[in-house]
Formats: sequence, structure tokens, C-alpha cells
Amino acid sequence: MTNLTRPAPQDEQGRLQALRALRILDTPPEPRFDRLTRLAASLFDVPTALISLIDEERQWFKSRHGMELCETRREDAFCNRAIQLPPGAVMVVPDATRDQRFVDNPYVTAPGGVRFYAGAVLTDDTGHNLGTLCLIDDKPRDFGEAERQRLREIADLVSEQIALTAERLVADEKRRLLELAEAVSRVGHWRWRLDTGELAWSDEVYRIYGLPPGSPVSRDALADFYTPEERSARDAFIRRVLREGSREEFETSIQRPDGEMRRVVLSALRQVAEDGRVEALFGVVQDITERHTAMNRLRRSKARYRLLADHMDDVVTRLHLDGRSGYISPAVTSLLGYRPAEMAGRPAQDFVHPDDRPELLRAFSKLAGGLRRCTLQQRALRKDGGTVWVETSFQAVTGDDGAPSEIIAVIRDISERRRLEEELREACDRAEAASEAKSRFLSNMSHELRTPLTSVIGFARILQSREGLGPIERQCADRIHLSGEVLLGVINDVLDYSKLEAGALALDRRPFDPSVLVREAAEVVLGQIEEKGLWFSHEIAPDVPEVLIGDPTRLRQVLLNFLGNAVKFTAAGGVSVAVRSSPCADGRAGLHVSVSDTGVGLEPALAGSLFERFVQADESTSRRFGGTGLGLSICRELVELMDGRIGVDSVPGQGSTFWFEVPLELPE
Amino acid sequence: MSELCILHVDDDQNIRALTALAFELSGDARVHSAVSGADALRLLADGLQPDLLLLDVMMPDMDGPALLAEIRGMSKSMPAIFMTAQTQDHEIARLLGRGAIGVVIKPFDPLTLGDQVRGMLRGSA
Repeated sequence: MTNLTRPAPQDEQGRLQALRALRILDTPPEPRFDRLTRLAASLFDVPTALISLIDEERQWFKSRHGMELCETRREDAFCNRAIQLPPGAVMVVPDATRDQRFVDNPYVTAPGGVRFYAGAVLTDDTGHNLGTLCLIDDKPRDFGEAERQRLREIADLVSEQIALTAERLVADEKRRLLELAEAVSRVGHWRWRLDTGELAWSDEVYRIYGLPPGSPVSRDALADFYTPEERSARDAFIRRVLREGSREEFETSIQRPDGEMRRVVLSALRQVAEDGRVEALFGVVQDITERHTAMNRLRRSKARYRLLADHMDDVVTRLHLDGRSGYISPAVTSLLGYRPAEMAGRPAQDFVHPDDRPELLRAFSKLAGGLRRCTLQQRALRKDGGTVWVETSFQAVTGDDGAPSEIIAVIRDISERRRLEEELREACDRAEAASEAKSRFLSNMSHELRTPLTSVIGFARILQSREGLGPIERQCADRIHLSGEVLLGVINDVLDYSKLEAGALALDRRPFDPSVLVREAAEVVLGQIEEKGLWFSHEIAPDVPEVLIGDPTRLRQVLLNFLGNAVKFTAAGGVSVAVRSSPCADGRAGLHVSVSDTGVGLEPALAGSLFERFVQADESTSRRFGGTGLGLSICRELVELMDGRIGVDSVPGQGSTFWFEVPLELPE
Repeated sequence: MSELCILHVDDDQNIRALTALAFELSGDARVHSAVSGADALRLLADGLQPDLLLLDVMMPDMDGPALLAEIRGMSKSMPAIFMTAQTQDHEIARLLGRGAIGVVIKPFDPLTLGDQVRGMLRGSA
């Protein structure tokens, strides 16, 4: 039936929005509405009075007097018809069974159904009809103009209550935001009415003071939160605000009932009535405990650093990026003679030797440009005109934006260190000069000793070669020649050893064939070996490289020394040479050469010290066998100079094996 | 074998005598001895034209290499051999670098000196 279809209202969307914004639908019953429906039912003597709100698909009853249902379909609602009328309208149906619009309505056709209906529309501020206050009876009745008027008035009361709901909603939202803001900022607000003495706190104030929100508070009870001095300071603050409208802040500590101390800042202002009377004080309390604690910690740590800086021997100073000084620790007075106050604000470069200033300025510009730290050794200028060597460590300090904001410099007196360094340098120079002089001396000595020896040996050789010498003369010539050769060997040893001691011996570096080296050395002693009736053998492992790079002369010297000793100390049996090679970790080849004999052998204790200078197997050795006792120690020095190792393995009575091992480069 | 004309320069009298004797015994060389670099330069300036210079290295006033440089400065290009008591390879290499064809190490064997020197001359020819 067309008359039951839902009419299309002008602004149904806007109406629904307005209704839902009230957030009233599906809320519990409220006495302020129920009082009005009860009043209407009794006033008009009807069994049912409802506050009906028309939602999109239903009508919902905010208050229902004499009705069990809490909602019905919108199509079946009489009120749906009523809200199509203009604001302020009252729709009256005296007998629904006689009204074409409702005769088929299920609530009319039901047994004991609706006969009478009167509904006054409920309109909001913006003119939307949200629903009705309606009266329902199961008997038809008349409803005159006066009754309509009265119903209209009660409906207006309902509308007012609905509007109040909206306002309360806005107020609730504001309060909620305020509470949120207060909780986040740890700021609470309070209001003290002067006429009644009533004190109202926001929830955050309760939280700050450690009390359950809503519990009763009074100005007197607050006294317990303060120490007597703080209480009187606070009272004085309140009096200043009251009397003068002072806008100052007041920082104080409170002790909560649970004993915890909090740091708070109070501020307050007067609320003045239109007649000029101060009616209340409004104030805020901010809990700054955390900030206060952090600041205290910072202050303490600053104070500690300051204490440290004030008592350090080193001078600690804070500089602006351009070098102007801020704080300077008192140690500067003993360093430069200035008091810190005399230097503060002046550029650091004023106190540095003019020659050192460009370097200092460069350092400042680098530090300002992002260099984190640097250290300079410079001459600082004393107040008395003298200079002192200082080492200054600069450290750039970055600000919140990550850019350098200042420089911390620690200045240390290094004049003593400089003096020692200078002395050390001079000592080194002297030692170097001495070493050079020694080298020169050795070179001269070599010349001076060898020149006469050349004559001694040379003339003896010529004499030996002459025919027609008598046996005595020949023996004399042989003795002169042999002694000359022995003396030459001694001189060579002494000169070599002295050169090694002086660090004046330079190693040669050239290619050589290790097997040739061994053969040539063997040839030198072969004569003696044959003379003593000993056997000789040498073995060169196949993996020994054909060419190595090193100082073959010095290697031959070591090998000859080993061979000479072996022959000298072996009475029976023989001498053997073994050469092998192994790769070194650094790519070089290790050359291992050993000389074994079947001679007297060595006591283990002696074997260790044999390579030390002037040590011989026993004191009688030099008498029996001759020699300076320098040979093996020269060998050790030479081998160690080549980064090698030298040693002896021996069993007394069974012979010895002297060996050395040197790392040598391979040709490319 | 043609007779060599040798100018030997050494400040030590015994070495001068030994060297002269060594070549005299080998019988194939004539040795002119000079006691110093200045003495040698004078002999050369006076017209001496040796086939070989035998120069001691360490001498007062003018050492062997300096003397050789002076002689080369006189546009004289005869071969030169240094005699030295230094045995280290780098020292010998240094001397060879100064324009000598060889180095004789002291003490030398006077019985083989002639052969040694002729060997060097052959090697450089």
C-alpha cells in the first residue's frame, strides 16, 4: 500500500547524521527522559507514552512508559509519518481503524491494537526532526487544541534534554582531550573558589599528588605535602597571585602520602567576576621530577668535570670555533703565568708563538669543518715573555644538529719531554757520528794492517820461490809466509768482528750457485784434509736451487769457518757437508748447510755458548789449535744479519754437526 | 808476449818494491813507480806513455779514483787497475764503476800478479 511506504524526506541523510552524532541510540534509559514520559502518560491519562527516535530502518525508544518493545520496524511506525511534518508539528490520529494511513498497520490490526495516537515531533537546532514524543491508547479518543499545546510543550522539554545530550557530548570530548593533554604533559589544573573555599582538582593533579582521583581535598589537607618552609613559601606565592595577579611560577617539592618526593612547578591566575571581585584562583601544577633529576645529574656531572679540570696539571679549556677561549682551568696560571680571567674571551692564538700561529689557525678551521680531533706541539707564550713547549689535544664538540659547536682543548707542558727528546736526538746523532767514525777507522785500520802484511807475505812468497835456498833459509821463508797468513786471518777476524759490532758491515746481494760455493770452500781445506788422512764427502740435495741471491763471500766465510774447525778438531774419521733447501713462508728459499765431523764433540753446556765471542771449547784450545775465538761469533753475527739461524748438534766423543740456515731470495 | 809498460802508484815503499820485483821476475813488464798522485801526473806530463795504470786506492792527498779522474782529464785512456785492501763486493763494484778494468786485492801473490794483470787486460780487450 502506497500510504505505508516510507516517504522520502527532504534531507534524510543529514537527519540521520545529526541523530547518530548525538550517540543517543541504544543507550540505557535515563531518568531525565523517563520522568517526562511518565509525566505525559499521567497528564493525558494514556497507558503508553514514548520518546521515539527514527533511525534508518527502525524506530528506537529512548524512553518508554507502558511498552515492552524497545524498537520496531520503521515502516510500521506512526512516528515515521509524524517526522515528515514540519518542526513543531503534532500529529493526531483519533482512531486508527478509521484512518486510511494506519488501518492495515500490524499494530492496529493486532488484538487490543493501537487506536489513538498523538505525536509531537522532536526537532534539533538545525531543524532536523529526529523523532517524537508520542502518546498511545487502545481506545479512540479526541485530542483538542489545548491538549496538543500541552503535548507540544512537554515535547519541547524532551528536545531540550536531547540538545543537552549533544552539549554534554562536546563537553565530555573536551574534558577527555584535556585529561589526555594533562596526562601527557604531566600538567594538572585546579580551581579554588574563594566564596565557598571549594578546591577542585583535575585527575592529573590527583596523580601528581599520589591520591586517588576524585577523593576529597582541602587547602588544609594540602599542608601535609610540604615542609614548613616550603609551605610558607607556597602561601606567600598564593598571596602574591591573589593580591597582585602575579603571573610568576613557583617551583617546589612535595612529599606524597606514599613518601615519594616529586618536584612540581605551580602557576596560577585570578578569575575576576564582572564586578571586579576575585571569585577564584585557577592554576596548573606541572610535575617536573624527571627533568629536575636529569638536570641535577647534569649539574653534578658538570661540577665533577669542573672539579677534575680545576685540579688537573693539564690545562683544560673550552674554545669557540674561532679560537676564542671560554672556560680555562686554573692550571694555566702555573703553565703560562696568566690567571684564567686574563685569558677568557681572547683568541688562543694570542698565546702561541707567532711562527706556530698559522698551524693553530689551520687546526681551528679543520675542527670547525668537521675534523673530530687533532694534536699539535707548539710553543706557548708565557706572561713573563718566555716560551714553553706544549702539546695540545683538540676535540670538536658537536651540538644537537651534529655540527661542531665548540672545541675542548687539553694543554700539556711537554718542555721536559722535548728536552729529553732533544737530548736523545743529540745522543743518537753522536752515536751515529761515532759509528761513522768507527767505520772510517776500521777501513783505515784494514788498510794500515794489510799493507805491511802484503809486503811480509809477498816477499816471503818470492823468497820461497827462489831456487838455491839452503834448508834453513827455506824453513825461515816458509815460517814467515805461514805466520803472515795466520796473522792475516786474525786481522780479518778482528776487522770483521769490529765491523759487525759497529754495524758497519754491509751485506752484498748478488746471484750465486750454492753448489759452486760449497765446492770452492771444500777446495780450500782439501789439502789439510788429505794431510791429516781424513775422508771428505759433500751432498747437495736435488731441490737446492741453482741460483740464489745473497752474499756468497760471507756465506763462504761461515762455511769455511765450520770446515776449518771440523778439520782442526778431527783426528780420525772424516768431514761431510750437506746442503738442502726448504721454501720459506714469505716465498724465499731457506738454504740449510751443515758440516759434520767425527771429532772430539762438545759438552752440551758449552754448545750453547760456543757462538758467543771469545769463547773456546776450553782454555787450552787456543794453545793447542790457535784461533782468536772470534770465528764462530762472527759466523753467528753474519748469519743473524742475514735473518738466519746458526747452531751445533754434538755428542761428546762422537763428533759435532755445525749448521746454519738463511733465507735467500730466488731470481725473478 | 810484448813487454808491458806499467805506471804503478803507491805511497808504500815496500809495496812499490814488491810490485816492481814481481813484474821483474815475471820478466814481461817494465814498471815505473810513483810515490803519489802528483808524482804520477808529473811522470805522465813529462811524456811517459804507459800501457797500464796500477793505482793504489788509499793514498794521502789524492786517492786512486781521484788520480784516475785527473788522468782521464788529460785525455789519456790507457786501462787502469786498482789495488786495495778492501775486500767487500760493493767496494770493488764501486771501484770498477770509476773506470777500472779490474781490482787486485791486497795481499796479492807476487808470483801470480803478472798473470792476474794480463788476464784482466785480456778480459777488457
